[in-house]
Order: sequence, then C-alpha cells, then structure tokens
Amino acid sequence: MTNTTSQRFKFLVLLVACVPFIYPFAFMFFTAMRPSEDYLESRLGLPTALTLEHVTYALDNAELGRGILNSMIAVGTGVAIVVVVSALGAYWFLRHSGRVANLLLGAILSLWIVPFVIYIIPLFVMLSDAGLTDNLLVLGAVYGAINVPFGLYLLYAYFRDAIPSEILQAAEVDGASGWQTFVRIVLPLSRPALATLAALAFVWTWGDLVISLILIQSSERFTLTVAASTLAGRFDSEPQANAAAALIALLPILIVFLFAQRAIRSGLTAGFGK
Amino acid sequence: MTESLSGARRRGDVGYLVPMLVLVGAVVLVPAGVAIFHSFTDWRPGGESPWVGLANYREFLSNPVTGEIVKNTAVLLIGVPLWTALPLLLAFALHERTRATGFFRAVFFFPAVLSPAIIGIMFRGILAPEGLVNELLLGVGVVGEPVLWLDEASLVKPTLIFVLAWASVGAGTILFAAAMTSVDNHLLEAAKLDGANWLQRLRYVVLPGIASVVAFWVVYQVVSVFLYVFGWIFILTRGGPGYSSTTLDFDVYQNAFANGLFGYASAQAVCLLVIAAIVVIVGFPLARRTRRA
Repeated sequence: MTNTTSQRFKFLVLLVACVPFIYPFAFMFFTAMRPSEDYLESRLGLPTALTLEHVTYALDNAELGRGILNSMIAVGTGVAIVVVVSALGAYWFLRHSGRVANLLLGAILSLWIVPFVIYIIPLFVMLSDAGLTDNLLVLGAVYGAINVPFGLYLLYAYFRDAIPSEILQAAEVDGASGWQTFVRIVLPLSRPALATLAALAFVWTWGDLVISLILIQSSERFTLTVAASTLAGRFDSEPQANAAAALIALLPILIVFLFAQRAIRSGLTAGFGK
Repeated sequence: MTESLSGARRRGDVGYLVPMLVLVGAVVLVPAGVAIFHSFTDWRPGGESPWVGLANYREFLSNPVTGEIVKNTAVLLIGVPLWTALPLLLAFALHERTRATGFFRAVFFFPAVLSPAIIGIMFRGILAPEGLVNELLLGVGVVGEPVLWLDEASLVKPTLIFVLAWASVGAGTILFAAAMTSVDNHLLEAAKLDGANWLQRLRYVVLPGIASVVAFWVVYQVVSVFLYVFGWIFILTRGGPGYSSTTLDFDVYQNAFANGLFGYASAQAVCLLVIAAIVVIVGFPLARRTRRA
C-alpha cells in the first residue's frame, strides 16, 4: 500500500494532538499526588513518589467529603426528576399530535435558549419568600427542570423513531391501558435513551456551580463544586491542595464517562438532530 | 370505533403532561415572566418596586460598561472559526481509518463532559504565574518572566478563546465524525486516486457533504458565546481585569447579586434573551438551507 507512510504520519499527528488534552490532566494529577519537596524541585516531570497528603488535606479543609454527599443528593434528585418527567411528557406527545400539541412541544423545546440569568433572579426571590432556599431537594428540582427541554427532545425523538407504532396499536387492541403500555412496553424499549439522558444530566449538573451557589447558603449543604471552588480562592497559594480539590471534583465524572461514554456520545449527537 | 375508543382513553392522558408543565412553569416560565415585568420597574425584592417604564433599558444603552460588553463579545466571537476548524480537522483525521480511534475519541471528548466549574479550577492552576504554561514557556526560554494570562487586559480574551477551544473541541469532533459517516467512501477513494491530498479531500469531498451540520455548529457556537460563557468568566476572570472580560450574562449576575440592581439586571437579561432568540431564529433556518460549502 502506498499510503502507509501517510497513515503513519497521520497517526503521529493525532498522538501529538493528544498531548494538550492529556498533559493538563496528568499535570493536575501529579501536582495533587507528589510530595511537597518534590513539587518545589520540579513541577513538570514525573513525581519521585506518590502521596495522599494533599488529597486528605483538601478533603479535611474544604469539607469535600460532605460536598460529595450533598452533590449526590441534589444531582441524584435532578437526574431522577428529569428522567421521570421527560419520559411522562414525551409519552403524552407520542399519543397526541394535534396542532396544540405541536405548538406546546415547540414551546417547551425552545426553552433551551432562555438564559438562566433571566429566571434565576426571580426564582431566587420566590424561593426565599417561600423558605425553600438552602434545600438540596429544591436544588435538585431546579436541575431537573433545566434539563427538561433536552430530556423531552431526546426521549420524544426516541419514542417516535425506535418504538414501532404497530406494537403500541397492538397493545391498545389487546386492551392495555395507556399506563400499562407506558410501563410495560415504552419504558423497557427505551432503556438506552433513558440511560443516555441520565448520564448526560448527571455530568451536566454535577459540574454546576452558580445555581447551587445562589440557592444554597449554609456551608454544610455546599455541593462539591461550590466547596471546591470557594476554597480554590483560598488555595491559590496552595497549588497542590487546589489540584487535589479539582481532582476530587473530577473523579465522579471520569467514572461515569468511562462507563457511559457511548451513551453520552449518542446523546450529544442526537441533541444536534438534523 | 377504534378511533373513538382511543379518543376516550386519551382524554385522561393529561396527567402525563402535568408534571412537566408544573416543573418548567415554576422554575423557568413564571420566573422569566416576573423578570420581564420587573425589567420595567426599579425592583426591590421585599419592598416597593416603582414602575420606571423603559428607564432600565435606556440606562443599559447609555451605560459605558455596555460598550465594553459589546467589544468583549465581539472579540470572543472571533474564536468561532477556530472552534469549528479544530474539530473538523480532528474528526476527519479520525474518519479515514486509523489505529486506536476509540482511544483518540475518548481523549478529545472527555473535556466536553466537564463543566467550566471543574475545568476552571484546573485551568487556574495551569494558567497561574507558576502554573504549567508559564513553567513550560520559561523552561524553553520563550518568555523571560511569567505571563499573567488572566490578569492582563490584552491577554485575557485570547486566553479565554483558547480555553474554550480546548473545552469544546470534543463535542465538535464527535458531532462532525458522526456526520462524516454519511459521506460516500467511494467518493473519498476516487478523490484519493485522482491525487487529491488530505486537505483537499476534506475541503472538496467531505465538507460539502456535511455543510449543514457545520453550519449548525457555527450557529450553536455563536449562541454559546451569549449563553454559555458565564461559567468560564465566573471561575477564571470574574469579568476582569476591570471589565475586560465581562460578558452580558456575567454583568446580569453581578448587577443582581453583587450590586442589588435587580430591575436593571432584569432588563439586561431580557436583552440577552432577545439576542439569543434572534441568533437562533435567523441562524438555524440559514444553517438548514446550507447545502454546499
């Protein structure tokens, strides 16, 4: 083959292109894990030894452990809400296709262009008046609502394209109620799409900072990113603790990414549609 | 018979829709409506909010910060060609069969699932005076003293453009790679036999085939500059130094939560919504009509 050299060259170029994407993570990892003496000597190379000292320090001083728990409560609530609410809503739109239904569908889908700064101010005021701020479940509900337009888009498209209408008709002829059809046919057939939505909603809301900064006031309810970043300012003079905080915040997303990469990819490309 | 049966059955269906309407209404629609209303008042939550008509909007037009915001946004938009070209090149490099595609895809894609809050903490370390970038540049001898990437007015926006390129390249690569699977491989082979080099194949064979996807991406990037830069500004620069990296959404946040100017911030937010809507309403139909590059 004449193109093996060009193949090799391209492979090499791709490898080089990887460096700016891998090295920052490696740098952060090594900064967090290398002993302090080592850091003073050289920051760029491989560490001479690994230590959990800075990770422990960040966990203790920034209360990141509690932050992880708080994030799990808020993000878990948000993921559960967006999956359930979007699935129910998408099922309604699957069964109703009149002009009103189409208008409503378009209206909800177009909400993604509403900037969060426009509704977060009144939402904060309204929730404060109702005594509902500083509440991780309310934060979770807000997370859920923010992802609903995407969830509806993803699940509606999946219900419509991946579930044969003959199956739905057959179920109806057999006397299955709408709810039975939903629970026994639509949901089991849509497992891939539901998983994609859950994975994407997880990584998107896990990284949220500002909404939780606005809606949560007491430090014992800080989510992980808030805990890590409000202390990032204090850690600016302690780069190794800073790197450790970033590493801890990133780890859960890395785990979800490794397990659900395909699902996340398919969700993102579906999000762009045609 | 079946029709009326399903009709009767579906009347009780509204329960499927109610949770969605309640949730979206309570979190997004009602608050957005309140913001639009209060953009015409001197809003003091918990107190009197006198009607001021268009005063907030007039203030927005005459405020010197607005000029800064327009300039900053315009400079950030210069990043769009870079944010489009990089993923195009990577996607095409991955498209024509190569080794370890899965590995490369994962590497380029991972930053795209991280949020500004998380990458931001990391980049503060990387861009710090004693951070990775400065250490490398000092080591090679390109610069004599550490560069203040985020603290110098002339550097902060180019730095942001590069950080955003780093963060968004994965999503673009995945999207373009998916689109490229629809390009006829025989055409690529034929072009290769005719002596078209790699860039020519990308330009003349692949690009026309995926032109509308690329156009969508461009419009999406433009919208992103208005809607999604907030997190980066918040973590990396706080709009500074001075106002040199302040964007409209960040200024809304500052005015509401730091300066207590709720009415003014609401008027700004309404303007932001209108701008985003115009970009989408004009941009997406244009993208849909794009056939050839």
